[in-house]
Amino acid sequence: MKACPNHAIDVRGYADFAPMGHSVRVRREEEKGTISWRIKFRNGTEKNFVSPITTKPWGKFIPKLAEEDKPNQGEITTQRLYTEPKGLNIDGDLPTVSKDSFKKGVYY
Amino acid sequence: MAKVKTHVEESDILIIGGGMAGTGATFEARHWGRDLKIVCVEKANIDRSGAVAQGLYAINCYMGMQWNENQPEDHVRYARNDLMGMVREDLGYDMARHVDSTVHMFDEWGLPMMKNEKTGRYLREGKWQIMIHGESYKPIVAEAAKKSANKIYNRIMITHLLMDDEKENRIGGAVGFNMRTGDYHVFKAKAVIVAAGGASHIFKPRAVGEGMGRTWYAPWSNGSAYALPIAVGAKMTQMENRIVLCRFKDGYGPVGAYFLHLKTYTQNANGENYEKKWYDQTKSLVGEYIDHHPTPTCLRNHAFIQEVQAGGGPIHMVTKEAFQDPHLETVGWENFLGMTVGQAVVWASQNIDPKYTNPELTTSEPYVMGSHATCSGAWVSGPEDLSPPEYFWGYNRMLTVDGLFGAGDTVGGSAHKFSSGSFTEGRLAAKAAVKYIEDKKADGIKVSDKQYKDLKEVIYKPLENYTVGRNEITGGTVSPSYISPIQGLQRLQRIMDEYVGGIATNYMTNENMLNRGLELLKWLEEDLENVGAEDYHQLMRAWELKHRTITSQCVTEHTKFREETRWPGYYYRGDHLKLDDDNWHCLTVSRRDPKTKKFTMEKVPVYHIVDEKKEKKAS
Repeated sequence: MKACPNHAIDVRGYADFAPMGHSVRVRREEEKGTISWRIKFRNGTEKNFVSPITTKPWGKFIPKLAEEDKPNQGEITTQRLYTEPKGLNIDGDLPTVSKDSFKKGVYY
Repeated sequence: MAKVKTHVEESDILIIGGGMAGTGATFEARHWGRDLKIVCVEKANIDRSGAVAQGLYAINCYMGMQWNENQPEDHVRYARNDLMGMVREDLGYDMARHVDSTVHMFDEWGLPMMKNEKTGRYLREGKWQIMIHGESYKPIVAEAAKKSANKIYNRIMITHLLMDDEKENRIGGAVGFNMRTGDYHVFKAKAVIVAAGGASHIFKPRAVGEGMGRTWYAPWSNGSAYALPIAVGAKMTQMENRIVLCRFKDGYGPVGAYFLHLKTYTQNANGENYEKKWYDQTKSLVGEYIDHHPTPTCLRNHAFIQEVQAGGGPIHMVTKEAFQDPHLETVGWENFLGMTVGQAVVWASQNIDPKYTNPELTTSEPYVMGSHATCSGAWVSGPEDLSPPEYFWGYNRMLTVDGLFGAGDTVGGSAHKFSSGSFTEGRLAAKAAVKYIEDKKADGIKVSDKQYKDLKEVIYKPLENYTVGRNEITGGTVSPSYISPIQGLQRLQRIMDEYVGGIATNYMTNENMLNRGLELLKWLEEDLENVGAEDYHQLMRAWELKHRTITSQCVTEHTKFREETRWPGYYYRGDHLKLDDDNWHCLTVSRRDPKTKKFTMEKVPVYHIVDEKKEKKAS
């Protein structure tokens, strides 16, 4: 269905369960940031839908990590990932659980 | 054979598979390993590959810790409950505490998130799900991986892992071939992250005509996530825990948004709520688990299956009420258009307008998908701060083979990761892989020319089988000496369907059937030495089949080992129909000896790192 994502294409359903006479047409437009659909039923009913595919200019807000700040010394030994803990939008550091509370093989 | 070109690529971190987990790993590896060489290899093209290739209408795993909507321990309780008590809670908690930072990045990158106009929060579909316009989810995420990788190889299928010739049980890389050019590719690496796809269509699917192998769940996921580690002797866990999905009939459109957001509900053909009819019967099988909230998915499936068997079908989703609201009608249609367009096609073809007709539901053939709602996958180390001693051996998400890491479908025990959790798990594996290299654990790896040259002979053999075998044909296309990949696949699917709990037996199996299944699988394995491929595309099909077969053997061994019915609605052990907490409140772990090809099984304790108390209050 997405073999040709930038141009309108028609699809028909698989013959082992889809009666003929219907179509679903799709057109994806990266510059407009939208995808449009036209559904035609076997009985002629038609429905149209449009959805956004992105909120930003294509690819512009995706970082190139090789050019970003390097991780701090020793951070590799912590549990934090890139952008964390700031990127979690929470107060404090990553949550964890005390091993004292672990229970082996009990039935919850 | 001599004409096949060989390319040797040396890298630090090799990522196998460029789906959500693989792109997460590729992206994060660059942050921690600035000077490392990072290579990602994908069977399709990473812009449209993996389970999110076609798009996705919801992110199924988001905590919302910033608004205290959920905390990681809540997700552990949820996944544990849904899987009838059996999860690796350390892995689940670890994924859950990081997943929000992943989702926040997707938002920044341009993924259209639906937001609640009043609160500004992400619009919830359910307790864990947030709604997106996700037709281009995968191309957006792929862009991030492309910016981090030294090189991305598309159209290469990885068939085998390479092992270090110097130190036992240490990884050395992987090999595969380009299905367009036919070239042989050798990837030597210090650490390897398997982020390949789980196992679709190892069981006979309901669609056996034109739709065969083309109907969701991700049909190109051929079990490489499992076959690659199994083949080198990595331990696997919970491989018996396949899923049967309750879906809209024929197109397999997901029901999540319908149940959770549109508030549609199911009924039998007589308009009755059939689920409560099966309460007592289910309780006699699983005891108090039926009283858990929310009802575990397998038990809802169980009621569905019983009701259809008792003659109450077809089961319908009641959409006529919700679809009177034009906004909800739009949500209902767009849900499929940006994710499973085939379901919209089916409805259009069968004149099913959910505003006027309640669509039919079905239960699918079984799938083995460690990132979705099953715990199947590799037995991996957890994080240092969360894992009990049995679950920790140095590096987060490292398998029982040194330097071999996993993420997404590959990792067992951590169900309900879905797209965002798989990307997050890729990030976790990548950071650990960088640390593994920094700790000099990968020094002195030697992969001999002989190792990869021998594998080359094995990989291209199906082409030779075809070329030689076709000489025996005097009329038609049938050779006495080879079978085609599609013929082998049909045999595999039939064995799994009839003996290991597929749709033919209404998901029923027992020890005798499993033993027979194993015998037939062994013969299939032997016959696959004689599979014939007429071109490189068929060569890919041949290797997909081999990966599916070894995965199926592991699934069958596990199903035989667990002598209880832990998940009625997913499968039934007719000889042990009841859930048995006294003997089976544990995880199952297997290992296949690469030399003898024999599986050994063991029980491993399940640890509960989160208590139950708050769960009751929350529900």
